[in-house]
Amino acid sequence: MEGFIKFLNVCKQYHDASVLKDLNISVPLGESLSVLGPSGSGKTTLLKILANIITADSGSVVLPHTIKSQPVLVFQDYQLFPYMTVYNNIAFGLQARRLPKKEIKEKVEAMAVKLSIDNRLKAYPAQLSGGEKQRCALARALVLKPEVILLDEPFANLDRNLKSETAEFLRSIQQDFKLTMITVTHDQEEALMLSDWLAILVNGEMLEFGRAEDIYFQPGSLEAARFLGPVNEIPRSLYAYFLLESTDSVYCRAESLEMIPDENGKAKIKSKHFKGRYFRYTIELADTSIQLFSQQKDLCGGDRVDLKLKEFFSF
Amino acid sequence: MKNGSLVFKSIRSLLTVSVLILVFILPVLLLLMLAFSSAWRFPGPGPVAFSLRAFRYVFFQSPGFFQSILSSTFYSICTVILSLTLCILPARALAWEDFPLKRVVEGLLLSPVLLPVMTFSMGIHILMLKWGLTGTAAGIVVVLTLFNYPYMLRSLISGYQQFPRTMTETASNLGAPWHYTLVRVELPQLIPAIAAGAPVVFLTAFSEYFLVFLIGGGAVPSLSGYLFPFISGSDYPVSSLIVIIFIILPLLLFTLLDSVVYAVYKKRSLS
Amino acid sequence: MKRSVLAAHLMPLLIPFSLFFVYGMVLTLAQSTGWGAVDDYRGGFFSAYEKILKDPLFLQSTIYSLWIALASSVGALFFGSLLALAIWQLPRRFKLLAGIYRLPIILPHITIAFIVLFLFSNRGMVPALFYHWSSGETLGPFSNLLYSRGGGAIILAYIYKEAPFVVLMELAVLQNIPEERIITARQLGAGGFRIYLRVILPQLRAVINTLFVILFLYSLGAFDIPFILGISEPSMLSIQIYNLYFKSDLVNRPLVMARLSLMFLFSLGFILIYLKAAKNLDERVRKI
Repeated sequence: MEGFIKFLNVCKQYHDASVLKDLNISVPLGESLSVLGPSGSGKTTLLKILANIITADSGSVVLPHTIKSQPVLVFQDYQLFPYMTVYNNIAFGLQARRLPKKEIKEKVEAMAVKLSIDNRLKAYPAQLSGGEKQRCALARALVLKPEVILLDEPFANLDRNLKSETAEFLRSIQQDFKLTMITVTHDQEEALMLSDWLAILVNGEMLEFGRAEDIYFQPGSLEAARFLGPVNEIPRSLYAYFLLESTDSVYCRAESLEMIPDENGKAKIKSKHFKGRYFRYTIELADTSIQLFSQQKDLCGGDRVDLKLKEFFSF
Repeated sequence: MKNGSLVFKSIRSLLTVSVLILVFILPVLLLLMLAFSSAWRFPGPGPVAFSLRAFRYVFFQSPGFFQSILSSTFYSICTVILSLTLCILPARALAWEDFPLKRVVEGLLLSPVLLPVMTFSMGIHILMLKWGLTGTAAGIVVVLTLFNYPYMLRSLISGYQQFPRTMTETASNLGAPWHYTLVRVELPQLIPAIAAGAPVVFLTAFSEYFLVFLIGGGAVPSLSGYLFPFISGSDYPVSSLIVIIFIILPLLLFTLLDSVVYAVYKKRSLS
Repeated sequence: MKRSVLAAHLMPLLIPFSLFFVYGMVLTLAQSTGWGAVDDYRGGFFSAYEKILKDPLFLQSTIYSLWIALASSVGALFFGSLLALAIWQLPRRFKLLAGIYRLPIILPHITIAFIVLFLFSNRGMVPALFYHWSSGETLGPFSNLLYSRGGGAIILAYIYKEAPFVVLMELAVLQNIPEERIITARQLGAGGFRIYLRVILPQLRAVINTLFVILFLYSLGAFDIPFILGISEPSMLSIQIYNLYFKSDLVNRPLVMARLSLMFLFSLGFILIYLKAAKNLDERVRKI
């Protein structure tokens, strides 16, 4: 697919407070973008402007000509219509378009099968589980065959342990339906699970925009870097130790350091915590405390090590 | 000390219950007694004789009873429907929007229940006379709506304040036009608010004597109009029977309404 | 919403409101000056007002109406507050029975008038009971209620109709007062009356203020109850206006409309002054 969804100098104010300040983004079609930002950063406003629910005060959103249908927004709490059955919820957009009943029935049932809620078509939203509600809301959106789908905090009302399953499910939907998917979330883990593209939004301003792995390992600003995960600042006194020749400040991710056990090593392990997929080590090196994520499990507190820097970034 | 306060509390409860019975139940019992009697004459205290004269008269002999009860029910229901129709969009705007002079507009629109009915009624009578609305059921529905819509407006405003606006946004994002969203998404969820406002509008319309008499001029039958001559003619048994009907009818109607709303809720697992 | 959409939202009520209430009131005010009422009106602009303000019957019925409105609204508030408190303090098992207080709310005004009539007219039930108890000696203190110049029967009917409304509104507030607050006050040594005055009443103040305005203005201009229970002299303003409007010559139309205009202006002024005073009072109380 060709083309971009473009935000051009978009500004929006609510009650004299700026929610979006001069926003510029180009989202490549057919990709999945996560907009990451703390609450109150204007993420939902951005989606509402895209969904044509509100209009920007100035600037414009330009969709490529190939896109014929309006982007559909799935709200955080799904906003299922409580008085309608799941069937009628899914059928709502088609009914509003006055399609023939038979056609609606076929489309709704096919979509329900795809999202595996075909066994709950007669239930009411209050009788559904969190996951079923989300699938119902997605079905209601997807049955309209949109080219762009917008998700507002898709994990907020789900069990934590369903996260990766849901992320996989959403990704597969995005691929199957060839959707451009724009998700907003405040959780970096969710953002990275869902998307290849990332935008970081803080106080209505775009801090960073690009491919997820580029932003993660080569962020453009410290603020953006911190938002995606723990960052170690390397003091100048240690540049020599890490064989660095830089005049800028140097930072690295917690997983960008390697430990080499050495009885005469300069660094000492202070503590070790099991975090599931990795261990979190706190290491003391010349009065500096450094965080390190590693899958090495044979080390423990008090051991001496040497550190090797695999990857870093500097400003 | 503890015992003393317990005794005091029991006496207080007993007193409250006796007052409630004396003031609110006893009159109804007296009405029942009168309804089943042929007549009541001073100094009583019992009726002259027990009889079903009032029942026979009202239900079988008198010409206008069923007509007037149907007419009253009909124009009261029309008043509820018209109030609802008129109030829904203004309530939506007053609940959701902030605009200059909003408090003034809201106060103005709610004022018809605050100001004395008499102040406006003559002016309205002249206008309705001019527009040919006097002596018609339509005129009665209009005048009853004018004086009673604020009850509906107030309930709908609070209904809309509790309604999640994002749901309307969702519906329009899914491509529904505004009137489609209003009827299929908003109205069903406003049922509790309507169920709070409608009985009040219905009841005040159903009870109204003066406005119906003023605008209807006797051409449109009404239950209160049917009752009036019996009161002024001191026919206690018939008057009592009609007062009892005035108690029973709304109770029946509200029980019906309650059970319908409850059933709708229960099916959808809403609380 | 855009301006035009907002205006479209408000139209369904603004149009009938202006068409009937605003236009009707303008018409009333205009006709009170003689304009549009009588073809060859001879009086000056304010002559109808001059005439009725000099009319002793008008003054008499104004004072009478104000008295009835005041007595019945204060009475309804007093008895209603008392009953609300009593019902609030009832043990749970009586709550269902206590719901009976709502009865007069569903009863039309004319039926309330009828109940007062058969109970308290001089040949009614209550005097009859006194007659039996005293073996024909007396008809009791209520025997002349209907024909008293104080309007006792009308006031009684209004109180019977309106006190339950007061109970309904106050109970909604009372049920939201946490029990702990009352217990705390009692532990601090406050007696029942002091608790009511200092803890409960401040919570009720707003609803009492609103109720007073509603009840006062309602009984000032209502028709049904005085139409059945009233006497010809003094008569309530609303009855006087009605009789003048329907039963007298068109020449008197400006006199009717001048009365209505005065009632309207009075009510408007009453609402504004009362609400302002209530607000000031509230602020003073809050400062203390």
